Amino acid sequence: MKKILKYIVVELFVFFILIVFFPALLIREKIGLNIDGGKPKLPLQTGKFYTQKINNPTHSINSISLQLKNPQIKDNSLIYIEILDEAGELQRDFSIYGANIGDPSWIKLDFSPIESTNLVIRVSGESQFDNSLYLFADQNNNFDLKTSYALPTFKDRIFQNLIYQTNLFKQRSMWHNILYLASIVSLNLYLKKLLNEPFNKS
Amino acid sequence: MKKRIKELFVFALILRLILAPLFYHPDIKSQNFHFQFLSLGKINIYQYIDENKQFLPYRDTFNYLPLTYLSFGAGQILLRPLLPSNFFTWLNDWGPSQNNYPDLLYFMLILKLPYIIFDLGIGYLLYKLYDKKVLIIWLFNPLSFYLIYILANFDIVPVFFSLLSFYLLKKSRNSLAFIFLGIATALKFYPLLFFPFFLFYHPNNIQKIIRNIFAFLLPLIITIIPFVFTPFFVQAFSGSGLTQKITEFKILNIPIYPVIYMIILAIYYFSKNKNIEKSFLWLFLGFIVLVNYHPQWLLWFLPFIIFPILKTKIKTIIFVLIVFLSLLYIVLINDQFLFWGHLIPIDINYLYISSPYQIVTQRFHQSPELIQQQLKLMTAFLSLIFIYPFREKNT
Repeated sequence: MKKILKYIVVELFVFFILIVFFPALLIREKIGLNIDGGKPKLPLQTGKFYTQKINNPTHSINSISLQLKNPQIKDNSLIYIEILDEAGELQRDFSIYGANIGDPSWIKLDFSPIESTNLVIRVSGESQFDNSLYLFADQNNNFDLKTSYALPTFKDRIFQNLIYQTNLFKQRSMWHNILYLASIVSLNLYLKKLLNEPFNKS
Repeated sequence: MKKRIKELFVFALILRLILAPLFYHPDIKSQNFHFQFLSLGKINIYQYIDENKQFLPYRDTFNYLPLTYLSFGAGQILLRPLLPSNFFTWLNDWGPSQNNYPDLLYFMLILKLPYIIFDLGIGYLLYKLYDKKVLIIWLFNPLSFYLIYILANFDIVPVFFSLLSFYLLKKSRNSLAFIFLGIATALKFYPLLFFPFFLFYHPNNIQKIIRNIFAFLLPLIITIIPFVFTPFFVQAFSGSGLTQKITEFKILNIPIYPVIYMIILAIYYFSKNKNIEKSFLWLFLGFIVLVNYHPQWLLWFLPFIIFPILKTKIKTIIFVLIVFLSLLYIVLINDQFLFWGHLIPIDINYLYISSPYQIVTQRFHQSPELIQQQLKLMTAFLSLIFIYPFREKNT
């Protein structure tokens, strides 16, 4: 029994590091909204602004990403992005020069977590033209938008990861789960048998 | 097989079964996307893709050889009963949800099962060629894990056939050796680099040399001839990655790697004891310094060079340093799937962690390309040390 133990320890260590420790250590935020596929249809001309309501179910939203387009990267006008709470109070604000916008590119804005449940994103610009800086949105003017939520402490992340991995395991093909685990166990039993055989038998 | 060796193989198999499903690289998906067309009876994949490009969810051309398509396509048909039911949905999903399949872990495991067989096969050949130490290094070194199961390209298969060819060459079974080297080349062109070294391994007369060349060309001729006259096939290979990259680095408009290659070949040809491993080690060192290689290309040389790098402690240490620098070079490539992205079968959120490229550019405001050049310089310096004749333990 002792001989097989060191092998099992190595296997469990590899498993623990990759499935439990690494995700808890490294994944410090979870992806929330992931809305893609819109078109560059909202011009960021002076005087125009666009708003979008979002939920913050975990009370820890810590980034938003918007898809913007600066055709041929010609327009260096300022773009303003503000995040307001349900009472209209400004929570976070950002300004970006057009030169930092690709043709097109996702712009990720990181900030310290916001607790308010309902938020409004407001985007406006200072472009002199109606065809040189755009925000991506669908036909109903819903922005192309990605959000993420912070997982603040290591303990939180371990807990979140355990829930996530358990759900993932349940969602996988049950036959494959059973066959996979059975193969690993059988191979370990075979290895144990080999280790317990006396040398002169081989 | 000795009991201790059997134990090593069983433990190596368990570790591979644990690790193989946990890592993903999009190449394995794009290759298998093309391989699926064999089960639909499409033999000329080059023509099929060209004619149906606009209807396909993934529109890249198939840039590999016909034997690759036919053998891996057949392999996929054989593996089909083992694959989860939503495998083909995933294979044809190139939209935003393409990485969001809980069964991705089992897709990876089943698709990599053939790699495990060829990988352990290489281990067995190395044991037969050298000793237990070389076998242990092959089975448990992190570099082969990375190249075979994380990057998960099919290069392990031609690597197996080129090593099998070398094994047969050592046993003086020349015709068979060259047929297997031909099969390796019919799967991926790179063993062509090894061919002249194999050809001059034994002192042969012209008649035997011609016979060996014919044996080498046979698998290529059989598998390529039916396709070679279709324009789609030629188009798919125009500007092949390897030929382009080998000739990229030039001084006075002369491509340096081919020159180095010819010098190494000449030294080998005129040497009394034909040391293939040493020559391949030099080819490898020249390759990582002078060629902007794809990471999986490092695997081509690996089984051949383990033996010479184990000869002295200092060579082993320097080689580990060279590998470390090469891996640093790789992680600084601007591709999320060359770092955290590999781990998405465990958690899709890995895809959104900043890659080393992003960290270097955004947090440290440095140029990763410049760092890569410096890493190449350091690798070149370390490689020079290999030319110094250290006293060897096993000679």
